[in-house]
Parts: sequence; structure tokens; C-alpha cells
Amino acid sequence: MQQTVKASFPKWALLLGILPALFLQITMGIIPSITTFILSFTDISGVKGVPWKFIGLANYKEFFFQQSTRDLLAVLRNSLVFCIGVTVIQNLIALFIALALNSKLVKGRGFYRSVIFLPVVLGVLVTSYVWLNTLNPMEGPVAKLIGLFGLNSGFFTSASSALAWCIFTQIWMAMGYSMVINLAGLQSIPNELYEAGEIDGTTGMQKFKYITFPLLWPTINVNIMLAIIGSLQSYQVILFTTGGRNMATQTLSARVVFFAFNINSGSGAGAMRQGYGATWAMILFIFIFAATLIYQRAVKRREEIQ
Amino acid sequence: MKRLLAILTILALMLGMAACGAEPAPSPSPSASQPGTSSHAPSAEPSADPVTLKLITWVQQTNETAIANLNAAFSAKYPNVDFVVDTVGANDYPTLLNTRISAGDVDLITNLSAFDTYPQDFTRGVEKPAWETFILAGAYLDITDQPFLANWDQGMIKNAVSYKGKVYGLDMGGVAYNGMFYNKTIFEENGYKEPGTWAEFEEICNGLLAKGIYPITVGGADAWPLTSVGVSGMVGAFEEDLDGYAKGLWEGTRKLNDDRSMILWGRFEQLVSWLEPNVMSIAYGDCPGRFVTGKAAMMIDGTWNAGAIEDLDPNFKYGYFPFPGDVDGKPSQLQGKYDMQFNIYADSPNLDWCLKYFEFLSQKENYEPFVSALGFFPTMPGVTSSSEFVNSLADKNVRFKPSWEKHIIAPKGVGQYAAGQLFNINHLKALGGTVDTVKELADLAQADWDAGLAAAQ
Repeated sequence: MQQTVKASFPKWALLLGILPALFLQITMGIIPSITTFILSFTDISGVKGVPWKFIGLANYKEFFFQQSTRDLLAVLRNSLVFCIGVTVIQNLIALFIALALNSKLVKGRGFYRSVIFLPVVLGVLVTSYVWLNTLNPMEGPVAKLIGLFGLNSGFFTSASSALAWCIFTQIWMAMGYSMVINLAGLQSIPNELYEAGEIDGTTGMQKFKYITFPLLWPTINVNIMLAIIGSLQSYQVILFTTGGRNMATQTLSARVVFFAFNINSGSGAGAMRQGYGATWAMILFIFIFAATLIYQRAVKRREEIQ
Repeated sequence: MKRLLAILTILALMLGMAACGAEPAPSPSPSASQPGTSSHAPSAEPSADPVTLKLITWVQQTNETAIANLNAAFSAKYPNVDFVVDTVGANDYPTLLNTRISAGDVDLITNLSAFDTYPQDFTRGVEKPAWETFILAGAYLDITDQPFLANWDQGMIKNAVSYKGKVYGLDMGGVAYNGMFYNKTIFEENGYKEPGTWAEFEEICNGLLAKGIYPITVGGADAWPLTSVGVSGMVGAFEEDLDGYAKGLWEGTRKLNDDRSMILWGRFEQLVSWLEPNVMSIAYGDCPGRFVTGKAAMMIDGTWNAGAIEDLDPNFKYGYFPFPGDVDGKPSQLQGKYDMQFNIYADSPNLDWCLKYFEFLSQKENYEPFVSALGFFPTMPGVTSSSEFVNSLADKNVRFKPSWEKHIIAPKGVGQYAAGQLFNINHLKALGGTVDTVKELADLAQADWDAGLAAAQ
């Protein structure tokens, strides 16, 4: 096959083929990223016409020394909890559902797959409002149900439960995506392996442990990486459900948006601060980089042990 | 090499993802603009070609209706002009304002307030207000030389829409927001009248609660109706010298947890106990409906929302009183701000028509119905509001002054407990927060305030 490609396409044609993707990656990814890094050393507001200048490390100084340490730690803790909560729970549920919906024993699998994938299609705004209204303690259906037991459904307005419910909403919205990737991985496992296992008398659990899981692991790995990066950069659910007005649900990505676009300033007393927002974006980048690196190291160590 | 390439690609991808929320608007060069110098000499009669003026404002039923009527009157006089009005919630309005100005996709701008909340001589390390940024950016048209300015109250021109001697807008009127609407029928049925002192207010709220009527509702889900309107009302009613209190806090002669402040915190604790359950889940827009249908006897809000109440039920009997505070033994007076301000986007391709709109608005016969519909106190000499509600407030409007919100400004980066207007009662457990008592909250607020001041040094 490789021989055929070499014979059919000259090297310049192959390079030409990847050019559109390369162009998009450079213009939409790499250049804005480098620009963001540079802008983190400026006081640019983002408002057209406002003069701006380089201010050295002032934004970083403000980040580390001119804000409440307690609030900063709360933001970092929330980011970590949100990331771990979403990544672990989402992938466990997605794996379980993919296994169930890959089984021929389940009838109407196509229907269930569509239903579970539906929130991905609905998008973050609709999903957020669905749960916000469902749990509305004044009029929502859940309020009436749990009200019978003397409980309150104001989960998004309570500082002690808001983050957990943001995690729940994020998982509900994104889990279908992980499930579909897992299903694709499951369907690529050759059936012969299971048949050989059956001849050897393997039980269902043994099939999962020695055939399904090892062969699905690369797919799960991709899902986990996507969930780590996706959850750390996600702010939309937080913004639409709790408004991010309470420090209880503030994450690094939410703070980037808060400063860069002057979200939730209420009366709008402060202007946009995209230079400072870029500083938060750089800190977020370091956070994502560290989380990814730690995860990859852990996976590599596990593979070495095995 | 492959490994290095792979690492670099992953790094670029992650940086791209991390940065995607903070991509800047097109960067102007530092010398690209001459801040605040945009002005325009209008032509005698603008072109008669069809024109669509883009106007942005925030979601508020009364305002939207009044603006729609004003625009319709303008279009009736100038049939070639029509309007596209875009709205978002008040919390998101600063974002809409920023993005539309950055994109140059607007002609007429409304602002929630006048040019105020400016750093004072005793403040340090505070952020510049957004309106100053826009003026420096040359986003607002300088209308200093326009003849129609003579029609307006010159005090308003000087205090509300001027910056460094130049005029950049027109303010539509004053509003009060240091109090609450009350249901006259519920009050009469239970033998209550408007409270003049805190003791009377206590008696009413506790009495209603004992009768199974929730005393007060507020749009807690939007935060500001409680932490801005409610707090401004309570502090403004309690402290006679608001500027002195703000200065004292900045200079350390007053504390958020000193004995006098603790009396105020105690009243906040009482206030929280009188709010209807789950108040932090009630959207601001839903509040008038709850109030009119009798879900609560009072509604913390600004006078601007009277129109929404009347729209819901024209026969509903209601009144408005400021939070009682017992300052000097006198009943509280209304406090507030200059509200809705109109500005013209300086790079609008329709400047002649925008100025014509301002000229139209500056004529008594057009402004009077507009300000009456808004429910504002007029800012044009000789204009009287036809709003029965506004006129009913005359006896409470003898010593009108700026609210607490217009006096206090926190240092940049101050902690969450001392942010905004300092009395962040939404952190109390009773309102879904994590702090048990007002004493604990007062101590946290003072600690955050001290840390903020230290960082600002």
C-alpha cells in the first residue's frame, strides 16, 4: 500500500494535500495562541480604539499578588474538581453504556444510542436551560417531587451543591460523545477473539478483562484526554446555570471569559481587560499542560509495569 | 525529531484551546485614535434615503416599550427611518456593548447609568469605569456644540454626561432604587401603612409572616436586585454621610465589623428572614408577576419597574417607600442615580440621523411622554411626568441624593466577601451561601477589604 502511494503521488502533492489543514491550524490555532501569549504582557482592553501598551509582568504580578489568595485557590480547586469529576464519571458511565448498547441482547439499540447522543446535538445552552428549569425550586417539576419529602431543589443556587450540579450537567451534555467513540472502539474489536475465548471457556467478566478492555484501552485513553482538556476549557455550563457569580463555581476558564469580555460585572462598572484575560488564559494553558502531562506519565508507567 | 514534532503539535493545540476564550479584538495601534475628539457637524437635513438605525439596550419591559413608542414616533415623522433594537439581559449588557462597539455594529447606544462611580481622591488601585474607556476610545460622539443641549437641565449635562468639559450623551432621567414596592391592598387589609422607621418595618414584616404572607420578594437569581438595590437601600437608609462612610472604610477609621456596622448587619439578617423562600432562584423578570399576584407583599426594586407592574395589572394598587433607617429620626428619602443614558456611536455611518434622533428627543413634546412611560424623574426643565406613580413620590423626593452604589468603589482584586458594595449578604447560608452568621460574614468582609487595601498600596 505504502509502495502504491509512493508510486502515485510525488512528495509535493502530499504536502499540498495537508496544506489546507496546516493553513487553518496556523491561522486559527498557532498564531492566535502566540498572540495571546504576547497580549498577556499588555493592558489591551479589546475595545476598538482604546490605546494600549506593553506593561511587562504587571498582569502576572496582579494575578499572583493583587487578588485574594483564598479566591484564587478556590478557582484552582474548582477547576481541578470539575476536571476530575467530569473526566472520571463521564468516562465510567460512557463505557458502561457503550458496553450495554453494543450487546445484541439489548433491543432498540439505535433508539437508545440516539437518545443518549441527543444532548450533544442540543448543545450547551439548551442543555443548561433544561436543567436550570427542571431544578427550578419555584416552579420546576423536581421541586414538586422532592418537596414532598421536605427537600429543596435550589441546587444551582446553593454554594455547597452548585459545582456538583454543573459537573452533572456537563456530563449529561457530553457523555453521548464519549459513548459514540467507545462504541466505535468496541465495534472494531474482531469477533473472532470472543469466539476463541468462548472455546477456551471464558466467562463474561474474563472476556471484558482480557479481551475488551485491553483492546478498547486506546479508545478510552483518547476519551480521557479529550475529557481532561474539554472540562478544563469548559465555562459555558457554569455561565448559563449559575452565572458564575458565586466563587463556588468559578473555574480558570470562566475567569478568562470574565476578564476578557467583562462578563457578569452587573452594572458594567469595569471595562473589558483582554490583556489580563490573556494572562489567565496562559495560566489555564499551564494547568491543562500539567494535567495532560501527569496523565500521560501515569499511563506510560502503567504500560511499562504491564 | 518525530517526538519533538508531536510534543510541539500537542502544545500548540492545547495553547490554542486555552487561548480560545481570550482572543482579542483587532488590535489598534497605540496612536490609532485621538480619544474623545469625535464630533460631527450635522447637515441641515439628512438624506431621505431609507435608513435603519441600530439601537442596543437591555431587557427591561418598561424601557423597551417606551423606546419602541419613541422610535415609532420618530419613524412617523421621518418615514424613511426605521429601527432595529437588540436587547440582552442587564447582566450581559456590558458584553453586548463591548462587542458591538468593537465591531462597529451600532448607531445608538443606551447605557444603564450616567458617567459616575468614578474613583475618588481617597481611592487607590481601582479600575477605570467602562464609560471612561469608551470615551478614551473615541466611541461616543462629542455633542458639546449641539444646540439641543440647551433644552436640558444643565446640572444633568454637567454631572451625568460630561467628561473633561465635553458632552457625550443625554440622560433620560433620575430613578430611585433604595426601597421597595408594596401591595396597598395587603397593607390595608392588615391595617398597615408605609413604615417610617425600622421598628415599624419590623412590625409589618413580622406581622405578615405570622399571618402566613411572605413579606418580601426580590429577583435574587440576577444577584444585583439584592446585592445592589437591596444593599444600596439598606446602607443608604442607615448612614447619613455615605461619602464619609466610604472614605472612613478606605482610610481605616470605619470598619465593616465595627459596632455601628454590626447594627446594619443585624438588620440585613432580619431582612433575609423576611424574604420569600428560594428567593435566589427568582429571575428579576419574574418578580413583578409574583408581586402582582400576591406571592409577597413587597418587592425590592427600583422605581423604574413601575411600568412592568402596571402592564401586568393596570388596576393593581401599589406604592413605593425607601428602606427605613431612622437617620436623624427623619423618614428616609429617595436615593438613586441618573438612569438610562443615550450615546451616539462616533463611527456610525448615520450620524446625521442619530443627531436628528437626539434633537427629536430633546423636544419637550417628545421627551415628556417618553420620560412618563419610563417612570423616571424628568431631567428637562418644564417637563412634568404624567406618571401618577412618579408624582406620588414627591414627598419622598425632597432630599434626593446618590445611592450607596455611587459612593463606594472597591480596590482591584478585592476578595469576594468585600466585592461590589461590600455587604454581600448572598454569602449567608440562608441565601445559599456558605457563611453561617452575619458576624462571621462581617469579619470575612473586613479581612478581604484590608487585604485589598494592602494590595492597592
